[in-house]
Amino acid sequence: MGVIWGNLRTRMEKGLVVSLISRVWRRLRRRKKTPKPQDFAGATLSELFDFIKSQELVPDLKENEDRLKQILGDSSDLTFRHLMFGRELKVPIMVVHVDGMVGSEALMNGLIGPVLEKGLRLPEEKYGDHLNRDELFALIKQQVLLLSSVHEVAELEEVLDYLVRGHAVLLIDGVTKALACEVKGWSERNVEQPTTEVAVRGPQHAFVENRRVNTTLLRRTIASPLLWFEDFKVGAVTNTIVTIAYIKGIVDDGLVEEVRQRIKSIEIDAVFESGYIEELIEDAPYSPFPTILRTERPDKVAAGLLEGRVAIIIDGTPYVLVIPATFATFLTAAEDYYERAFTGSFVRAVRAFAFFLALTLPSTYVAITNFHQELLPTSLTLSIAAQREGVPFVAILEALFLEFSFELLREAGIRLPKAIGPAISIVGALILGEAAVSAGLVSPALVIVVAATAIASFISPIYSMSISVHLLRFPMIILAGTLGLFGVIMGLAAILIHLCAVRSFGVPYLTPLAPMILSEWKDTVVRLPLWQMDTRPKSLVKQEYIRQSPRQRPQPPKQDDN
Amino acid sequence: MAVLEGGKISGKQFVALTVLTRILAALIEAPTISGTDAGHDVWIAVLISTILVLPWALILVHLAKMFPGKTIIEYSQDILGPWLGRLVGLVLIVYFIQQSAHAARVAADAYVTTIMPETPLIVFIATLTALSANCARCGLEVLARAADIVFPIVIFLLVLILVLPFNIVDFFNLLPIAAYGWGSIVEATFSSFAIFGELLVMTMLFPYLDEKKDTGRLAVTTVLVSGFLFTWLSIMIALVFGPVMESLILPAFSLSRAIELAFVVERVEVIPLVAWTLGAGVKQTVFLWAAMLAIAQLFNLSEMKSLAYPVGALVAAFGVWLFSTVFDALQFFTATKFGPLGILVCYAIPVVLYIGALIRQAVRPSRREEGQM
Repeated sequence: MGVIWGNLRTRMEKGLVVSLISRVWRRLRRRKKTPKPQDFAGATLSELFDFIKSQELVPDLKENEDRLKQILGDSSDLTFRHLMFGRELKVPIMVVHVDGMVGSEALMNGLIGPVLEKGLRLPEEKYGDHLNRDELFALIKQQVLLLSSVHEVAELEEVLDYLVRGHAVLLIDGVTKALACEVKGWSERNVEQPTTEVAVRGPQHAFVENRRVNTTLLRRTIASPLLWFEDFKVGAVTNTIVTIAYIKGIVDDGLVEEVRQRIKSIEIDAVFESGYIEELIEDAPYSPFPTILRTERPDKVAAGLLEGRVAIIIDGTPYVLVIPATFATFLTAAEDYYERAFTGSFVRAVRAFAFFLALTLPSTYVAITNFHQELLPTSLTLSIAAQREGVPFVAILEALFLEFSFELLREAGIRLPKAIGPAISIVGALILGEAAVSAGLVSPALVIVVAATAIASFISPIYSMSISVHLLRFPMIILAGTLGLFGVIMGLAAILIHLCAVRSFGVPYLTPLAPMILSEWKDTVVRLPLWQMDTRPKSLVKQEYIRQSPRQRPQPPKQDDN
Repeated sequence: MAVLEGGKISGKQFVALTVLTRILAALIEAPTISGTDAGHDVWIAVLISTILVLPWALILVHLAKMFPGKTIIEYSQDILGPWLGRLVGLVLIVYFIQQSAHAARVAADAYVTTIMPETPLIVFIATLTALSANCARCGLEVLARAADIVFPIVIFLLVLILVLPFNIVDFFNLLPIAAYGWGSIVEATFSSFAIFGELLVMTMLFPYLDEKKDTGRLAVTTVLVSGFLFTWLSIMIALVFGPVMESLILPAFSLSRAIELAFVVERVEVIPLVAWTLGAGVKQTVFLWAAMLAIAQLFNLSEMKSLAYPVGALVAAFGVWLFSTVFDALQFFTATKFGPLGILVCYAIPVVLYIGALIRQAVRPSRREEGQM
């Protein structure tokens, strides 16, 4: 057969058609072949998942080692340590871990050290041959390991999962179970000051990349047994742990269930940032506005939880999601509550005004200079006209040009290495502020407008809201340049209708302005003194509406005059 | 049957919606009631018509209470029988579309006559209609929330233009009362009455109130608030302009032009501009939504969202074709034009329905007794 085949092949290889046929034939043969576990050649991801699922732990240590090596591709960071338990018994034990994921001190002092020592000190005459392997397994688990968290694992799949999460796995010859020992220890960023949400007064720590550290920060802020955490695994390949946090008793159970369902329904290969989860569970995927709050401040998350919101902590990112989030949430900073009530209220008014300004100032400028000069006082009209005399472009082009160069500067400023940053700002300031004006490309009035807008747009404490405003400014300018003030009003109305239509996890986005809930105004339009904020938001909380006892206004003790 | 409109609105939102629906008329039509000769006595006509409208509003409320959860389209078929009832429904659909188109046209005309004379009318009408259709498509709740936001803004702006010209008023402009004879006042009252008929849209909104027992109070509030704003505006315009007011096309705009305070507050024409754009938008959307709902109910459609853009296109087309000049639009409901027709649609239909319902109520128990016997 082989000879005939070889003959045929040499003869056939001369023809193109024939070579095609032989290629197809080869492919067909390959397809028929089941993936050989030895090298996994050509195996797909789902085939590999199935293979891993089908594998089991076997009594033989060597075979277990081979399987682990095979599945992990004999990766260089995979480390095996073979031990012998007992002086005479000499039970082979194997400790597997991924190098770099475990703390060597915990591994030595908690796992390997105790196992070896106990083995040597074991009164073997007492046990002799009677010590069967399962008893030894239990003995090691209960009396030997000096570790706080040890899990019994029966499936190879679980063993692998624990391994890649930084556990050391202990296997005993003849036992088809393993012990996953928590000896995690990898290098990590420390808890530091928040970088994107700075507060003058208030807690100065921020979340980090480690989920466990983040839950700890929350626990330390809310020391209550009713702060509940629930873990989910998201990402078929990254296996990222996503934790939802809420305060049982305050939160609406329906909301928690909704969050659970939405997270469970995610089917994605990787999760690297909270943005992944946000985009996959948000209500308004096409909206320019964020409907989920992300923050790196533990105090902000804690405050949200106490209002009946749910937090989502994602391993690997310092940004925690808080849902539901309304429009007002994005104009609120943690510090509003730490400074005195009047300051908080004033700052909020400034923010709301700034938001409006950032959205409408350039477009209003374009509309008025282009179409409605009569709306300005005469002297101002004349001065703007004089400034614009040498400018060759219409106001809309001028505004778009300047806004666009501002966006360029902003983006360059963020991405550049820190050492080059100042250079860019100098160049930007000089080019935009001075050269563009003296070259007659733009009018000074517009530079003022764009600069004011730029400052105003960054007043929102949450960067994602600033970005939305940046985005919306361009269509607004175009509308103003084509339809004048009518266009500006229409643009604003369109944004308003959109905002009215959007919901965040069942809560209308513009709550408490529309629908109007006056009892929530105490913490949105203004910030009343703490002793007046007696209730939680009605839109979020169903059962625990009362937050604190009323009539807590502090007063000086009454003085007797006699 | 499928739920066409699942939204619920609160009492506050109801008042906001209905009063906003009337703002456009308040700013543009009512203060002078263009086309009549009442002159500075218009405020009397507005006041009288407000009082006259109250019993009618209560009839609408009572009808809604007799047929809970039903719009006028549905209960007109219950009362008048399927064929006559459907005819009434058809008439109302045409009225709603006409009102929606009227709002768009008046707002567009206002822009063309004031600040953007060179832009074609259709640009404004098309833009406004696109937005309203989009909003009506999102449903009543979104519309109500938008009204929640817009209402305080518009009322604030309105009060601003009503208060700021205090330094140029002349109280003697109101004298003599009934200078042009009571006949002209009656004529203006008729016109104002016909314009008030747009509150008929309340019959479409009543079923979606979340607190049904407040219905009467809310309807009366709407009538009184809008009547009050109308009266105040027409008095203010008479006080400022006196005998000239008859020649003003857009009195509110002229009023804001006249404002000049300490060389700081001047040229505030933008204020009525913003107010009537928002008001026109809400009015157009409310009537567009009402027309969509009415069509869906009359023809037993399973959903109404897909009607938004087709009906919107109809509204835009009507807005362009229905009126030939700005005066056509402003004087649409005067006695010599379509005023009688408006009164027939807005007042005669509900009254006939009410009488029919009362007769049915009186007859039905006896019938049931017969059946039992």
